[in-house]
Amino acid sequence: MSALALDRVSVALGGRPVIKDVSLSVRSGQWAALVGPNGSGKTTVLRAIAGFVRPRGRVLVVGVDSARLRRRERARLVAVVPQLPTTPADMTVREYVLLGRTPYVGYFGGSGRADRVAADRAIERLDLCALAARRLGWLSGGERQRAVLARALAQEARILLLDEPTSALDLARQQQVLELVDELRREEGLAVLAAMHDLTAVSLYAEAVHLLGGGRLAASGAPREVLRAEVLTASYGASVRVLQDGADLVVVAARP
Amino acid sequence: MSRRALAGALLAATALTCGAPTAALAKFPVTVEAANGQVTIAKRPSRVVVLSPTATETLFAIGAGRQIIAVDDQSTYPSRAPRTKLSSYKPNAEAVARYKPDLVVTSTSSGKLLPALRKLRIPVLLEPAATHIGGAYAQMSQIGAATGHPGGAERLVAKMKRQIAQIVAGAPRGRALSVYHELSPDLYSASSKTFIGRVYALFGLRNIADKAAKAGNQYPQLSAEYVLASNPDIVVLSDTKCCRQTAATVEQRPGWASMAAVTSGRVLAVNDDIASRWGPRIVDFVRIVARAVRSART
Amino acid sequence: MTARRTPTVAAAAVAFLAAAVVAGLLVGPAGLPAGDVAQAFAAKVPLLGVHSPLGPTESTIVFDLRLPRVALGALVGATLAVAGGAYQGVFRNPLADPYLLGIAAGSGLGATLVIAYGPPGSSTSMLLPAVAFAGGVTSVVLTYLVGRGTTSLILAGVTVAAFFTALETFVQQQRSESIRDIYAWLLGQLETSGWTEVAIIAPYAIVALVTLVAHRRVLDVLRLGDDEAAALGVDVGRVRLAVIVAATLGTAAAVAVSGLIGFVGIIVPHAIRMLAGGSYRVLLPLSVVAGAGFLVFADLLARTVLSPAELPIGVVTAFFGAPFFAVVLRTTRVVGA
Repeated sequence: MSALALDRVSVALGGRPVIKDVSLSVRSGQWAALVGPNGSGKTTVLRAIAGFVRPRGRVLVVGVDSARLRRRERARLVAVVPQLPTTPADMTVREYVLLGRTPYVGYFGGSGRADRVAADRAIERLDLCALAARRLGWLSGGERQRAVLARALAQEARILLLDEPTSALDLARQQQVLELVDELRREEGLAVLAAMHDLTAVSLYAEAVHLLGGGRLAASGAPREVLRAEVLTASYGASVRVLQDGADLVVVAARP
Repeated sequence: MSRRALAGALLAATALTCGAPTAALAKFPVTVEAANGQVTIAKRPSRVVVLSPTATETLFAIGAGRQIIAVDDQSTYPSRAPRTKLSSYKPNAEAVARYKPDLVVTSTSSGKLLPALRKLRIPVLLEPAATHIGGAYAQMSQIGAATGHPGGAERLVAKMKRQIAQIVAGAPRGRALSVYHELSPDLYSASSKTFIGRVYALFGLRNIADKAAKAGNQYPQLSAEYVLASNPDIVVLSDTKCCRQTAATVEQRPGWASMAAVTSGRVLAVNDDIASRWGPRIVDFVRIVARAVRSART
Repeated sequence: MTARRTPTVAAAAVAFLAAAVVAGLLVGPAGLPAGDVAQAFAAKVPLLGVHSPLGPTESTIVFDLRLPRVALGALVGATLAVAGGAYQGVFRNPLADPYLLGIAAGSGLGATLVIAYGPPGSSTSMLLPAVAFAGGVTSVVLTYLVGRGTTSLILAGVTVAAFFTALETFVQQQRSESIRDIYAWLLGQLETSGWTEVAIIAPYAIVALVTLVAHRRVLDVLRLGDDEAAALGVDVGRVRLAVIVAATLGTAAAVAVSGLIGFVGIIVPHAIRMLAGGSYRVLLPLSVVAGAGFLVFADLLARTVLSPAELPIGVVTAFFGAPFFAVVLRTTRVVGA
């Protein structure tokens, strides 16, 4: 049974269809990438899974129809790392990571021992112990990204949704984040669905690739199958070349 | 005692009582019906705090001046009144209580002054702005009874009635005249249903503010256009103290120089206090209006 | 930048409130010696064997005029401050104050109608607070019906406020004789005569205070934005509604009893934010304490600066408010809401 499955999911916003009949599944411990040009509906797919929009079709989270899940239950199963997370400048790292425990804490309640333990574990996992008492406004970009991941980890969810996790980072940070996510999904058995624009990174890290075009799923499969020059050119409308570098693929732009 | 001695004693006693004001007849405790209902005053008050410029004037006029220990900051007349910084507009109960009054006379009922004074067991007379001259007389009687000067109040009222009647009778009859009473430079006026308006009515003057007034709005704001179009025969300015208006400043206003009242010099500048208080000096105001009427009809 | 200043700020806030209360009780236009007043309070404590040196009138002044007034100031100040802080959290807007959704205009219209058209004496009866309260609640309900979601709620509040204010001005013009009384009410006052006013506001204030402070942790989650908070399992719409209802009840009761006292709801939460950080877990409880202290202190100034005349308390809070905002504008680059 897959941790996450979409069964002909469609979303229309303001009367306009944004995604149509998207079906895909992600197993526990698998890293699946969502790729496609701007406006192809990647973010909308993630939002439908996270419950921000109500889709037609079914979204199954660990086998349960998410429409039947209450908000808190869904939050215990699905963790979202948005493209531009809000990190209040004067919140400390520990306070911020503790917010990840919200789905487990009562409406008025405060965090209990279990919550603090989970948060501390996440902080340690993401190598933030030395920065735990520092305020988010005083962190570097990479450190802040680690804090966001720590918060998602503290949620102890089964599914991790990432929306362009590397778009604002430099090469070193990008690598750091991607390596971290890879480590986490292996060790925690997370099902990862990430919207990514860096196709080379996709080929390096993702086990499955789902290509969206015009709101529909244009191709699904292993990176080798989907990341082919003709497929990509048709989808992105840009001229690309796919180079082989040992077992890895490198996707580069080519002059038309 | 021989009959002659008795007669002599009686004569002496009569001489004493006849010469003295009938204040000796005042009896306490007395219950007075004021605007805040029935108020009982146990004994003759000797520490009166007054929060009403009009009441201050009345109290002095009926002979109760010596019983007053404090008046509000607006009580400017008579000048020997013991003025303090107490406010008649937003009075503070604690500040009033500090004077340990045995009677408080006030003209405003807003705020929590009355309930607070009730809690402090200090009798309060509420004498709000009168709407007609008879009402002003009634207030004087109440104040007189409450302070032990019923005779003094009676005499004051009688004198005022007599003087006003004389002044009105002495004013010449003639053509119909209209009047505009100005309360403020932004053209707030008073209709004939106000206290001031009644004075004009005594002389049969037509008040141009009446058209704009209605229930609850007897002090309407008029438009400059309307005032100019009505072309009143007499203009009375009662914003001379507060807002420094005079016949000269009025003439400067656009279009006003051609008004009948301006060209014939019938713009009266009256002391704000005289035109806004409903106390003994209303007679002075009546006199001023009579003079204007005389000049307009001769 | 890891200074743990919260305990210090908390202690300072409590000390401020205590000082304000003591000063408010000991100082007043009646000029009673502070020692005598203190002794009178001590006399109320059983088993201490202290006798009050005050006469009956002076006792009434202290216990029936000053004490309820200080209590009222504390309740109103606490309610406005926590309502303002909670609104800042739920709308993520540092300029939010308790009157954001049109309460001021609605209550103002209610009070204006009573003063202008009510039977004489109604402005000091129970009718005025009741109608002012109803007016305040009505305007918030209207705002809620007209607007949905964060931004449109604020805009709806502006619209409703503008409409009611226009009505209010119209009524004032129609009944110009009542303008003075209306303005006196609008500028705010903490006058008391006994415990009536406190009794009126107490139940609403307590419900509002307890509810809003209980929501402080949820408001911290809301700092992440509606989407992220929802992804963490928070029903953002429900939280917003609960906060609005509680804040509205408290604020409407405060306004009904004491008129429109401005700036408390913005200044106090901001000051706490500058001193102790933006976490609502800390901000809301501290706003309760500091708000109470601030208004009691402002009322003390209102009563004594021009003694024996009284400044409308809205003027005193505005006096603090304007320069405070200047300071906030210059220093707000670091602290976010």
